[in-house]
Amino acid sequence: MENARINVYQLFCLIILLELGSAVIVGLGIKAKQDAWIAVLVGLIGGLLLFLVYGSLHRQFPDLPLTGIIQRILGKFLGWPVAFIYVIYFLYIAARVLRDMSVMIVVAWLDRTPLTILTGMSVLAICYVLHHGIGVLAKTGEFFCPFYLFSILLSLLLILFSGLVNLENLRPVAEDWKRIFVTAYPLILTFPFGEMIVFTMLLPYVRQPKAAVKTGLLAMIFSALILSAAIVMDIATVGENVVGRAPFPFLATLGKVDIAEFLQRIDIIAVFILIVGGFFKVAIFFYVALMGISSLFQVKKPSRLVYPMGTILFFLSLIIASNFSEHIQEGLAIVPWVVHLPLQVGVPLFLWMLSLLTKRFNKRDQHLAGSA
Amino acid sequence: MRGFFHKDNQQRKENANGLDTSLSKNIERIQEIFYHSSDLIIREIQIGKTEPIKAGIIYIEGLADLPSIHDYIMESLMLDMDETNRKQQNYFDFIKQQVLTIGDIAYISDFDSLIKAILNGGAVILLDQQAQGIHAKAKGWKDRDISEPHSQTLVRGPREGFTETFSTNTSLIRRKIKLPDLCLETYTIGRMTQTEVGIMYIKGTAGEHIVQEVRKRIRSIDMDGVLESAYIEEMIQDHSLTPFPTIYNTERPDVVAAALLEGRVAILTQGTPFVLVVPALFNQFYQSPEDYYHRADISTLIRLLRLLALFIAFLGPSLYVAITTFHQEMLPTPLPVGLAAQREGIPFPAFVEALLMETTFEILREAGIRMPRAVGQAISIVGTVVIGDAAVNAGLASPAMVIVVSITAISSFIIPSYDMSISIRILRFLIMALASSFGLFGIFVGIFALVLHLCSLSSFGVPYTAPFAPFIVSDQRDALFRFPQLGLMFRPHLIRRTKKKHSTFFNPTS
Repeated sequence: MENARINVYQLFCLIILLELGSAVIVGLGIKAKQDAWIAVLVGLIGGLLLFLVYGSLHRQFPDLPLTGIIQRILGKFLGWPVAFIYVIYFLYIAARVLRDMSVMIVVAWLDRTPLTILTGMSVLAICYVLHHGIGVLAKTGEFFCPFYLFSILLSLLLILFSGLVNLENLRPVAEDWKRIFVTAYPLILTFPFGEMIVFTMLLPYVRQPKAAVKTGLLAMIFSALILSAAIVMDIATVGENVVGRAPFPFLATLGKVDIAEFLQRIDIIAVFILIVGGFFKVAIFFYVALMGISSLFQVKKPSRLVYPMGTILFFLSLIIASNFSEHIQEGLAIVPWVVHLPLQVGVPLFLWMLSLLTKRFNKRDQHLAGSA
Repeated sequence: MRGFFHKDNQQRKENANGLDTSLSKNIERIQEIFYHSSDLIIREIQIGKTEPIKAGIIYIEGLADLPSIHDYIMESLMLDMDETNRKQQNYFDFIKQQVLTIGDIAYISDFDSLIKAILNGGAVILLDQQAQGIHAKAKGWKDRDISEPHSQTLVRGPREGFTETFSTNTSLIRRKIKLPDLCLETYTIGRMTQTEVGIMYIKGTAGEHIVQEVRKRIRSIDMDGVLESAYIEEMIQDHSLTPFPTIYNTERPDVVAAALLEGRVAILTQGTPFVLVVPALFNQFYQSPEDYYHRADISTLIRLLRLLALFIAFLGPSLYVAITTFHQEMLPTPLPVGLAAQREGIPFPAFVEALLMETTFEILREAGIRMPRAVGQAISIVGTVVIGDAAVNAGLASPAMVIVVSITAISSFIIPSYDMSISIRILRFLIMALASSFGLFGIFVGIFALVLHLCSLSSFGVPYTAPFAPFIVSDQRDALFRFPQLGLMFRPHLIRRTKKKHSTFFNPTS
């Protein structure tokens, strides 16, 4: 579709931005109470296995994005609708993250600005990105990623130095393994690790295909460690009780930092982190949806679809839920089970097994044909 | 040479044929072609002692060097020539080899090159009974002396700057790089102005694909006049829809020499001291040549300071407007209280206040550049009154705003490249508008879009944001930091690379 290529370092940056995106700000895995950070690491294991499945699919069809792989394995008749469902799914996640981001800005900064305006501004900026294509998006990601990681590191250090950290809050460690597992699977597996499904669409663009999967795994481990550290800080500073109730615990934690009555109100860093991560997350999902739709409908110039699709994204993000509580409730109780699990785990696993079976049959056929 | 004269002038076209054998006919024709211009000098003389022959010397007053025409052409021909020395030689070869005591000589046989020779300051010698002429290159117009460049001043470093003369400029560069590999290719551009434009590069160091691209773009320029290198810049830049310069220009030979050594290509234009350098990356525009003339540690710090200034020049007023309007809670409590007290009598919102002051400053700055030198004093007096105490006393601006505007203004002067400083000035107003409507979120969206825009730019195929995006580890030695010279022995990655295709040659990790 596009001639642009991305290199592994750019892929690494994009994965970090996508994985941390909104996850670092919200109270990830807080159902496991003070052991949320363990739940993240437990969830990571499943996530890595899942990504290996995606990687194996990619290796079998190195030139095809997910939508192409589906059609290749299931055939045009069955594959097309499934691929189309994926396109809608990507668009839906883009809308969800956009909503997260806009609400966060309203909560943290602009409490009298209508959501519509903020969403509209973001959509415009993201459309401008996608107009330039994946190459420019990757370069921009490469540019922002160091600042992004630095901000996270800085905020973690500031929390540490503010003297608010109380490790008592983390005890008892690993209180209830059952609770941890229930939190990790499926909640943490699907968000953020399962969202790696989006990269099955981008892996064909990577210039060094052999290193792509390895880079993906590395980036996932790296981001899981950062996520875990952020949650440890959150819980140790304000306690799991507050983390569980606050819509954006990281914001609440950073808000408490006050060093020498000079460094205070540094929650601006948290907002920066969310906006950068959110922007890239929305942009990646939206780009992938755009790619999918233009290949499914054989649109020659995908950039022409950017603004029409942007309009859909804009309205979708506004009508996706009538208020923020509903949005969160959907995101925690319904979406993981009904949408994430089948599309992130079910279908890819099925495809993978099917592809392995056909490979084996093909081999046997060849073998039989050869011996006959 | 291409026949420029064929292109647009019907009258000239008819004349574009060989010279006649009759001297008087040739002279008549030249008179006609130049419409009997009064500065066209045609001197008819007789040469030779035993068998005199009629000759004509043609040149334009002021373009050709009179003393050398007198001493080396007329004197040689009329007094010193002794045709008894002529054996079986052609008359022309004889004159060329034994008579004329002038360095650079060429034969011409048609009116096209004759006209070109005359217009370029040469003297043309025609002989009767010969359908040929001699072009003696006796160019001699008045040049400005080499002086210190005005646009980029340094504390330490060479004091010489380019002049308006093409050959002086090329020699200034050659003096610094004594290498036969330093190539100069000259083109004549501009249908009417016939301006010399040269590209200079070091063969083997400059990427062949970049040189090729420069050559291609220069050749494709078709315009009436080239009066400054900006004409060339506008015709060959990669993107025209951007506020950022994608071609670097400088008045300093040392900067051009450094760029050539790094593998870049310089484009020199007759008639301007500003030499273009391509490819130009964002990185170059906040670096100063002085960075390399001081110790590495000092240079690094100064460079970072300059980057900070760039940041302030770009975002200063926007941050002030956003924080005082939307995010007062970010400041320690006494500060917003003080600010509010200052702004008590001011009838405008912070944005209008900032806009008012910024615009006033921009007007002052523009006036300072345009007005005659003699009234220069006035601007500083008026300036201090308008942006200063009087504005505060009049209740038009708060003291804090005056400080913000001043620091922004000073910061914008730190940016070593004037082009980049203009871009930043323009974009500052855009970001201010965003900041006043959406606070920090607006600023962020603006920066995001801007970074993206920067990432989408390229200069002669090299990504504009290199070595940051794509990130090139080895080039970080001379990007934000300036490593000691020992570490700078490697040339920039992207420029050095020699590959044919554009889209694939930025591949830092492979």
